[in-house]
Amino acid sequence: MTSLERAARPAAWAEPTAAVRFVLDAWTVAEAELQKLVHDPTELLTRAVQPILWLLVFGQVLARARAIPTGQLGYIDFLAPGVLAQSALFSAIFFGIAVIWECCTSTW
Amino acid sequence: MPQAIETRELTRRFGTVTAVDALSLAVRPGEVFGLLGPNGAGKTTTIKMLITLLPPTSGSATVSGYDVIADQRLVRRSIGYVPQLLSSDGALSARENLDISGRLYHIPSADRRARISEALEFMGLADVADNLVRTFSGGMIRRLEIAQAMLHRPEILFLDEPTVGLDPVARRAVWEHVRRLRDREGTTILLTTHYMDEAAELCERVGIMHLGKLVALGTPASLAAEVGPAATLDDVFTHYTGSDLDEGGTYRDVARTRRTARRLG
Ligand SMILES: Nc1ncnc2c1ncn2[C@@H]1O[C@H](COP(=O)(O)OP(=O)(O)OP(=O)(O)O)[C@@H](O)[C@H]1O
Ligand SMILES: [Mg+2]
Repeated sequence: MTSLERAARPAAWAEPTAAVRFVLDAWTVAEAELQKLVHDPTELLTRAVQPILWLLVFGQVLARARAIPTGQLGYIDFLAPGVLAQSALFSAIFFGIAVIWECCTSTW
Repeated sequence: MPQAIETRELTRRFGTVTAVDALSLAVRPGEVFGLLGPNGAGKTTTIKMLITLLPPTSGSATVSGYDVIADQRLVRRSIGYVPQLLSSDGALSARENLDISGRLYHIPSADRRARISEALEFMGLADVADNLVRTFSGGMIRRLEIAQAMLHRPEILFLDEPTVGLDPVARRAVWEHVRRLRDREGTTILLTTHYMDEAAELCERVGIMHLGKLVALGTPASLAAEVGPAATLDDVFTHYTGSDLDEGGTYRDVARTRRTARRLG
């Protein structure tokens, strides 16, 4: 049994090309992060706090104050895309750093 | 038959520190080989060069017949590695951790699922497969990490201090699994340890490293016999490294010993 098994090593299955590997591996890591959210959805709340504060506190105050001219567009409509983009960007940077940290500390 | 691992004058320097100094060593296929040595001896650095995470300063090495510099990907496909530090993710379950490993090794999905169930069974983790790893004990985590490193059935497994911080019962369980793995899969295993009883128990041959150099090599019994009639492996260790196990090895200790060594040699 062992000798047969070992004869099949190390290339018992074909290895994808470098480009395919990159996509698959990136997806594996991303899906693991999503899976953590499934286990602990409170993370979602903590991540939502900041953009909600931006929209409700700053958004409302500045909308009332009309300090920034936004033309026909309401101030909240003007602000929302920016806040969304900012949250996405910050999360990406944060997790990018976490991944680099993991790769440079735990396996080294 | 070619050696499972072979190093020739393998050397790694960090600035002025020579962590591994002209190490020449051969590990036979199917062997459990123990690399011993005090803190800072260069054990982890040696492993990192063999698994292609760290390029050597000079010298060369082959793992499973592949060159660690020229054939990095082939080396990586032939080996499994359990690092000294934690490598499983506490926020995921055991099964999910295994799935990540399997996918990063690109094992096709049907095959992967079968192997994961089998690995969970083999490591005695089937009952807790879907629990989060942060609820596991140290011994269970170590067994999971070994399962993760073995999922692609590597020819050679590197274990860096597999039982550090485990209680005696958990250590025995890890030993038992290492032995069964070797018997069942014929895996060559290179492990590092500070525990002499562990080396005597598990390893067919041991190499003792001190300040980056290999200072002794042989079976635990033959090394003990060389040192004295009633010697244990502890005595062998002290004989070759000139330090008691508990002495630790701060940076200054190492620097001081190194200076002495230079003066002597
Ligand atoms: N990345 C690094 N940068 C600088 N020096 C390093 C680095 N890694 C290791 N060293 C030095 O190389 C020497 C050998 O370290 P290594 O980690 O290989 O020892 P070890 O035998 O694994 O010790 P331990 O039993 O404590 O794990 C030490 O003096 C250490 O300080
Ligand atoms: Mg180490």
